[in-house]
Amino acid sequence: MNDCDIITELRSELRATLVPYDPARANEMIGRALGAVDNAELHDIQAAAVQTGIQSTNHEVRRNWFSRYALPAVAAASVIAVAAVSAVVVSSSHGGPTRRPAVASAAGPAHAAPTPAQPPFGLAWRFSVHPVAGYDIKRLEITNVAQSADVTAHGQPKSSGAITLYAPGALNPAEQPSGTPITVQGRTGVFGMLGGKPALAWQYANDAWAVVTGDWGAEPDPGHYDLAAARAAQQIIADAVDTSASEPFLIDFRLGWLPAGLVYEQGVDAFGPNDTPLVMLGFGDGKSGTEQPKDKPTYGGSTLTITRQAASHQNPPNMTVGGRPAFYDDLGLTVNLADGTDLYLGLTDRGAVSKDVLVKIATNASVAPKPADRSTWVPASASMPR
Amino acid sequence: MNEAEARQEFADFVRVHWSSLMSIGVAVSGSRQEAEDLVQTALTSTYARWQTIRPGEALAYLRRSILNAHITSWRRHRGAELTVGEPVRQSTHDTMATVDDRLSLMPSVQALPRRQRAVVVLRYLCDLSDDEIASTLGTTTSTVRSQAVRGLATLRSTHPGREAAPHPTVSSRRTS
Repeated sequence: MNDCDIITELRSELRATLVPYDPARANEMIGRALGAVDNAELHDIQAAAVQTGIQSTNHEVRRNWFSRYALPAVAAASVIAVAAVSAVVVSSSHGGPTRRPAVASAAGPAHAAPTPAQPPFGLAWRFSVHPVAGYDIKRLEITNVAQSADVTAHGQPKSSGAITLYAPGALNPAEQPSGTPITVQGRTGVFGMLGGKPALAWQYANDAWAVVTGDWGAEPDPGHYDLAAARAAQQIIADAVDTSASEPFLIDFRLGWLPAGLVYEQGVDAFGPNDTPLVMLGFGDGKSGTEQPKDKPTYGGSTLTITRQAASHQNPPNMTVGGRPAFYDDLGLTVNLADGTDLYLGLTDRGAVSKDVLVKIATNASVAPKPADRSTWVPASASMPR
Repeated sequence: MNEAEARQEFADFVRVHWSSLMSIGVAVSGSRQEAEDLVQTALTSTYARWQTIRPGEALAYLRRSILNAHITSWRRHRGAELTVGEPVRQSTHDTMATVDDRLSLMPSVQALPRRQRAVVVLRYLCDLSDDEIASTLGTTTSTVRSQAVRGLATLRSTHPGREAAPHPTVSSRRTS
């Protein structure tokens, strides 16, 4: 039996296992999933999952994600010191709200090439996108290999796409499928299929490529696309991307100490409800998302994530850090700050970083005085221990 | 998005994809009961992170969660792994008539190493591209290809005497 025969029969036999939709059973399982977030059953389920790589954190589960993101409408204006010692107040010398490009450059960025080192791609800057009517472009995820933003068409939740800028050399144009030559902001590009979806790629700087991909133009028949519609939508989005390197990646906390070997791997610049800013930094052994140029950055790739967030009060304090109440278990450390926010150090692997190390990281950290005010934040490149 | 909206969105999403998710579970585990456990675990962990999952990647995340949950199960019950539970249901589709009187490939599929099994299921049940499989499994495209080749080689070696089946056209995705 040759491969073709095997494949043919394999498809047939696998499809014979298709489970018909059972609305009652589906609803029951949905109900369990929704209900589990707030009860102890989830802890056990998640604990097993985390240990084998599902890459989620029990802390996030137990605390109810939604309450975590219910950031206070009015942020406390006081400087919050995590440490008992005087805190380093995040400088606002880079101040001013995050700047949006005033005008999209039709000719393309003349000085678009980012510096891939010192600081690395993932800390030096972030690309920005001009507002595009009909689309929300939010939640930037950044690694040393790529930066990716979500793009959601209005009225189409979970049916959208992404803009991804790869660091110089990270995306080999030869790996892209052949397609229709195009230009984006005056630069060479191609429109074709990538990973089964329409994609528009262009060289935003020397040896550096950006890709817009998404579900726009999708037809009811799965896997089929109206390519003209897809291309039109992607071209509009691509034209709005600004890679002028003028916008720093801002963080609302600063780290004064990290143990040797724990390095920055990824950052997330997102929004909670009501467009409340929210950022996260992830730290690991330096390999996450960088082993293969096209590896996608993921939350779980890191060992430690640090976020400042609305206080959840899900877990009663069991210790103090710098005089502030805190909760510790082998999945992380949460320090309740005076302004009603938490500094959360979460582990993607149980016990991956010791309690003493977490406490020392928190003790040497400082936070921006106004969590909702980006003008008080610090560029990521300056937020790391010196 | 508030909590109510997120719950509704999650529920709607699951209803749309429930059948395919369960099918993956059955294909990798060989058991409807275990498939429900796998999918339930995946749904629970996914919902807890629903607001952090990128739009457009929720399905891939769920697939990955199911496969990871299966690996968990495999590790816990390594000794019992070779026992295939509920028999695979027979399709009434005409093309299946050709395999009715032959040894099914499914026990061999379920005996494949877990990564190879996952690749085979995602490739030939879900029709994912190698890039999509690599993304789902958190590996590289070349690894996916090599796992698929090894998996097929194993299946071929365990069914050497089977006669060639008819060749129904395997539809590829239309891209234009």
